[in-house]
Amino acid sequence: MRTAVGIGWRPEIDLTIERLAGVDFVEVIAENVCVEHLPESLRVLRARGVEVIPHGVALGLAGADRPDPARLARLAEVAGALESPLVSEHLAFVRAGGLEAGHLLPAPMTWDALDVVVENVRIAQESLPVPLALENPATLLTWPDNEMSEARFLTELVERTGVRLLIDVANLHTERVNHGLDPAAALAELPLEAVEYVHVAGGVERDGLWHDTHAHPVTAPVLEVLEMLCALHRPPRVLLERDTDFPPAGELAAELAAIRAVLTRPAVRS
Amino acid sequence: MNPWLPLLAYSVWTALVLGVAIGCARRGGKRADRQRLTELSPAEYAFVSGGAARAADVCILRLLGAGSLHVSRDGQVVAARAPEPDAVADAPLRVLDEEYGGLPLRELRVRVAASPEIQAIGATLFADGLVARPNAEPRRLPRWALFASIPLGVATAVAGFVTADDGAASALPWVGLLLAVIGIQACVAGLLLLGVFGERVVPTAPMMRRLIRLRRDEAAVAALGADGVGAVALWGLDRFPDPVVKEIFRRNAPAPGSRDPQSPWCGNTSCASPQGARAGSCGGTADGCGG
Repeated sequence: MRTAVGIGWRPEIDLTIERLAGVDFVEVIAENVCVEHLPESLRVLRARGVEVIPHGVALGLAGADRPDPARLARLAEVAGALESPLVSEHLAFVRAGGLEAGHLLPAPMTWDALDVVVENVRIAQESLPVPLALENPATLLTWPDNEMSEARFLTELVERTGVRLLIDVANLHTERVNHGLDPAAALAELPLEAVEYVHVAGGVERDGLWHDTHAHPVTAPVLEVLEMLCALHRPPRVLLERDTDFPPAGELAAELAAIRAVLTRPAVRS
Repeated sequence: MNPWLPLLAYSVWTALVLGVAIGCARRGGKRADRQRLTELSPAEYAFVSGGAARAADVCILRLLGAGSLHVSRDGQVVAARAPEPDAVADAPLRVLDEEYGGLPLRELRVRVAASPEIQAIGATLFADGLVARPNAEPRRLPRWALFASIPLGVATAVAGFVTADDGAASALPWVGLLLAVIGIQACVAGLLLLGVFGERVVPTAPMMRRLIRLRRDEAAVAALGADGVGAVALWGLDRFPDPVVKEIFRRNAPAPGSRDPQSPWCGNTSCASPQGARAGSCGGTADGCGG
């Protein structure tokens, strides 16, 4: 099976992405797409047969509140308009008590929280016309009374709901730097057959903390985690994320080439 | 009296008036630095051919071609690298460097045209004697020139009528001659309006000869700039080979009223307009050549 390689579609670099060679699929921030006025670039890419995956950032499926039906309906609408094979969201909460955090906040890794998230995911799945994939977030802090690892939490979630996974290897690296996570152990614990695609992104370390900025080049340790994952299970898709401080097209192409190089390494191919 | 004499006198006088007016308008022209003619950059050729607006477009297109800028289909431009401190070609990057999140292409084009780097091209070309009129008022009608030949024109008409004396039989004997004089005056006005007075950048004769030679030499044009930038410098955006980028530029043409009065090579006209485009060659579209 050939792994598709893609890039995060952002309006500022739409034309650049259209002209990058070998882009098999793109991901769009679902909340930024207006179904009534689909960006011309996305229409061009769809006409070329490039898959477009809507990536939500505002459902807050790991929150105590049930997901907003209007947001779910909109996500479903975007997926339909773009003929997407799936949609993705984060295992995170973004609001509580009527307050918007403006950030993806980590869920408590407890059995009680798992029950809530399972119910939220089921509601989302029933509202969406395509499979839902959940992403492991990058965190600067964790809850003090976690009862299980994030990998275990995701595994339980997959088993109970059948939800698909979006594994962000940059976020695993973030957890490694910030919380001492062993990415290899985490990957070994995850149900990798449920992985729909993988995120790769750059970040920067400041004062001993890794910041998943999506504004810096992809580093070797992140690609190393990708290689670990691919050695265990070859994912169907891998996507490069870059949200700001966009480099020249040549550098984006080089980062995509570096991802492809990881996918063709002997340890990964076997 | 020789019947052609009044007409001849009128023609000579009109030519004299036009010559003096043009000479005044081209003031500042000096001996051209012929060595510089062979060393001009695409942005300098663009400046001579299409003014600050076209020079700005050439700079932006070169950076786009080099991958140093990203332009979206909606016309938003973001920088892909930091600007070099001294390079003229990096003027768009320096403008973007002052902004967070990039700029609309329309605004970038206006600001780059008015930037010190692009304005300095005009000053340098003028110092080298390759263009004239660095600070003349563009499109200003020299009224004295328009009216200077009217009295003689009327006198010519009267003299012609008296000499020929063949209009008396007509019910309106003066009308034909008056219409002729008015027509000639209208032509003079038109020349003044549409000719060199309509130009912001006036190439001197050596520069114009160089441009004409260059425009006939496809290889030289291609060598001037990769990806059609040389052709844009000489003829305008209409010659840019990438239809998508050309369409983005067309959609994001600066408003004709955009201006920066502080910039000497924009003056009282728009830095977005095709200053320097010869009347009738590029029209009056805001994007340089209506492409």
